[in-house]
Amino acid sequence: MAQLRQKKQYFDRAGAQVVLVGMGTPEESAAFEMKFDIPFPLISDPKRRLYRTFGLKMLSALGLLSPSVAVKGILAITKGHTVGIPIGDVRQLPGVFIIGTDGRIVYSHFANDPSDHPDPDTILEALKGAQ
Amino acid sequence: MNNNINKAFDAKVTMADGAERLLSDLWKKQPLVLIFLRHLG
Repeated sequence: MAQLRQKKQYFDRAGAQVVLVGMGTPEESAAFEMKFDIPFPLISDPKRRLYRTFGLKMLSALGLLSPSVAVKGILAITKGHTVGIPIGDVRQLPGVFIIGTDGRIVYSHFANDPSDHPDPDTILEALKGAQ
Repeated sequence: MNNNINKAFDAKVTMADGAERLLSDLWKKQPLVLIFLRHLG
């Protein structure tokens, strides 16, 4: 989130709207926005309807306990990332989509593990295809 | 990275402030970067 926040001006310059989707209720989502001073709108999706609609993957129970996931989590903490509040299904994996003004999905990233995030520069580069 | 040119699904969504919007309203005027979080934090 810190990386995204730092790049907000670049997304603004690219003429894109960044919107987050989280599994919290509206109340939990609003508290998250306030606590972390989130500069992007946030969709509340506690029933994971949008997650399922966009076909995002779920981590298996074995995957959740795998050593590689644990190591990546520890590395993320050492890099200064905070440990998130486990709201919703902890097996749910994240993802990123860029949707053009014609409604076409021009970029999609389906995470394969909890730490699998495209960096903001990759998203900004992909945005060029959405203009 | 995966790329495709599928049409995005439209749906009514609830924002953190409780307001309901159509997802398509978010991409009509400018490209939308939709980021699905794993957790709030």
